[in-house]
Amino acid sequence: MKAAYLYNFAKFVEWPPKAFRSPEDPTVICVVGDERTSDVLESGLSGKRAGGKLVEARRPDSSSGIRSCHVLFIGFSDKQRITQLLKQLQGASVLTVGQSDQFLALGGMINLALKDSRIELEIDPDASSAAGLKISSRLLMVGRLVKAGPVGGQP
Amino acid sequence: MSGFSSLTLARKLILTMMATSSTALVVACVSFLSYDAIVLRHNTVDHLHGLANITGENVAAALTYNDPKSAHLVLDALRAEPHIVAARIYDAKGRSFASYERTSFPSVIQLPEVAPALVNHLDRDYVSECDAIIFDGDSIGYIYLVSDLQEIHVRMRRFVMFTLVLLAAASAAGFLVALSLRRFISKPILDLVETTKRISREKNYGVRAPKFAPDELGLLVDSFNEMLEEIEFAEAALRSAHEQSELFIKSVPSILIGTDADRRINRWNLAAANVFNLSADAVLGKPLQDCGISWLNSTSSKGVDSWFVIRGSEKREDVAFEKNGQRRFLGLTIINTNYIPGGEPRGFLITGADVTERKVLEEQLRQAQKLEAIGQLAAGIAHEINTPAQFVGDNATFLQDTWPAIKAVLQACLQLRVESAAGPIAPETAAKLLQCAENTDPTYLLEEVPLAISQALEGVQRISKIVRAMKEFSHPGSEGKCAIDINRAIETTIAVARNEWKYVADVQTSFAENLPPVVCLAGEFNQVILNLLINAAHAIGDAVQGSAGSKGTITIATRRDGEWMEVQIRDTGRGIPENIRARIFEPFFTTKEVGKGTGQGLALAHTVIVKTHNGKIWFESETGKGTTFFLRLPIEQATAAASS
Repeated sequence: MKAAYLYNFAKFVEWPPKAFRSPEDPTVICVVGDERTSDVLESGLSGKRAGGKLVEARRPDSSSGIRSCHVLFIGFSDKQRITQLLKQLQGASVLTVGQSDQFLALGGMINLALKDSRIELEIDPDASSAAGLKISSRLLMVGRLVKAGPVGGQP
Repeated sequence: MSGFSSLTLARKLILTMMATSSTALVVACVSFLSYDAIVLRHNTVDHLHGLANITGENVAAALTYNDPKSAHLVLDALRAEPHIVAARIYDAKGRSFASYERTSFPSVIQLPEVAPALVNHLDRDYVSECDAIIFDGDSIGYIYLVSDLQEIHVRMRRFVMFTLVLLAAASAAGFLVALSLRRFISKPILDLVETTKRISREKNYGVRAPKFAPDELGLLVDSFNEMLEEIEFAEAALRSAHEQSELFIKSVPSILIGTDADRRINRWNLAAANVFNLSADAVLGKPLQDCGISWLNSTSSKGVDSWFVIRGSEKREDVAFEKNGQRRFLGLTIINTNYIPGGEPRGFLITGADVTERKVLEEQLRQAQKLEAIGQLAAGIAHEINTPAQFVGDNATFLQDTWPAIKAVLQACLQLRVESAAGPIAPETAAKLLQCAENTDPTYLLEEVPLAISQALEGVQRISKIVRAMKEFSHPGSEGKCAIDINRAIETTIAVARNEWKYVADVQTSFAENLPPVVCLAGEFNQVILNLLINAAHAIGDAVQGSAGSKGTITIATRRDGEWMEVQIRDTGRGIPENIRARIFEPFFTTKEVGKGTGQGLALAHTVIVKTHNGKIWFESETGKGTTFFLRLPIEQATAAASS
């Protein structure tokens, strides 16, 4: 389920051109801290396209690896690790997706909140636009918009 | 359509213009309307399709992230589209995901629970569309939209209203234009009509119709005037011909009466008016039977109407009528004009004249002829009477002459008787008686006196016989037919005509006995016999001329042959020359010198025997030997035989 959500973000979000080295480069969806989702993604995305580009699933292992992702799903809910990861992504056009209560407050862009046994999107459009990403209004309409503000321990 | 054709030309013109403009308008409007309707429907469908696409895109995220609420929001945005009455989103599996219905949406239309097959459906009031929602190349669900066609209907209504108003305006405009144009068309026609009315009212073909313009109507007026000119010319010619023929008819001295097929008088000329003393005005239109003429039944017993049952023409002689208390006669010819066998008669023409004067003349002529015959005989009869009269006179004279002698003897006888009664007779007396007897030759007287008396009586008898024969011959006072003894009649005629034949011929008779009486006009029959007898005598006279003392023979025989009584009169004359045999019965044909014959004898005989008595007359003649005339009369005269 989460894999499909992640994959679909590739359709509703527009990255700046500098995020790809060449136009033929695939959209890279990275997962950290959620092996199961990672597995599903890797098996389900082979050959799929979104917005005209191939979609590729990766498991990043370094901070530079993280920065070359386009979507980064952070599966764990440890605030410090999340903050650390987000810090490493400073200045990179990476859509950060999380699944913890404080994710947006920590500087994440989209949080998959579980509510009444279904996933609800919480989106902080300010955070995404700061990263140079354009989130489709249709996605914004679906998600609940949250203004995290500077409170989230922005440096 | 007959309603239209009975309208005036002006109305037709107006109606035509209005109908033309209206039709053009209606056709144009209906075309526009139809086109508009089609385009509008297409637009509506296209619009719906576009709307479905846009809405589909807008709910893509909601579908993707299974968010019916935001799908609802998207669908709620359709409120801005007043024609969208219902919408429903289905997920990729066709299950209902989110729906929208306008409050005014009628409940009769049910949104399908499951996504229908991909359609766009168009009915009278609604158009529906079901499209797949494609997001980034994947079909992620379906959208179903229903739009009403209210807009189209409103538009149509407006259009129709507009068309009606336009139609009314165009009709009004057409009416006004036609009204102002019609004087160019209906005015000349009405003038033409007025001219024709004037012509038939005044019977004046000199009138001409006015011409307005050199168009078709002007051409019509020209043609009409030309026609009038020809009619005027023809009418003048006809009138003059008619006047001339009327003048002819008027001046014809014969009666000319025309009737129509129903036998009503339609022509009555001056002669008819004069003859009947009835003016044309008094009889025109009436049937001839009762137009005021008092027909006498004796001659038109079957009525005047029976005259008209004819084929070509028929003559009617001696038609009697009464005028001023006087019986008058007409000779008429009734003509069935234009007779066609088996066809209905179209009219009758009756011509003729009052023949009363002619009839009187004819009757006078008949009497004159009778008198002429008697006159012809008069000299002979006088001679016939003279001879016996003479010897009656001679014998009377003889008796007168002998009377003194007889008287003297008788006186002496008387004296002798007186004396013998007184006493003895004086000797002087006896001597005187003796003297008388010697003077008178008593033997002679005793022989001659009775002879003289009987001779005188015979003479008287002969005279009275001739007188009686003449009386019988002329049959005075018996105008009608009566049964007579033919033999006796012939004998009488022979007696009357005795002086005509006795010097040239002997007459022998060979009468059949027991002939029945024959009904005929005795006077006329006698005259025929007389004519034939005199002709025979003349024929013999011509033959024996110069041979003194020789005589011919006239043989008259009668016999009965069935229903016929036949008389033969044979002479021993020279016969009739062959070249004139065919003509001898013609009136006025004669070979006798002027003064001896009028040429009427045989013609009269022919008329009397053939026409009056329905008999026959013919002859056999042998040149040098003589001629025999044969007469035949029917013994029983038909009752319907013509009377004279």
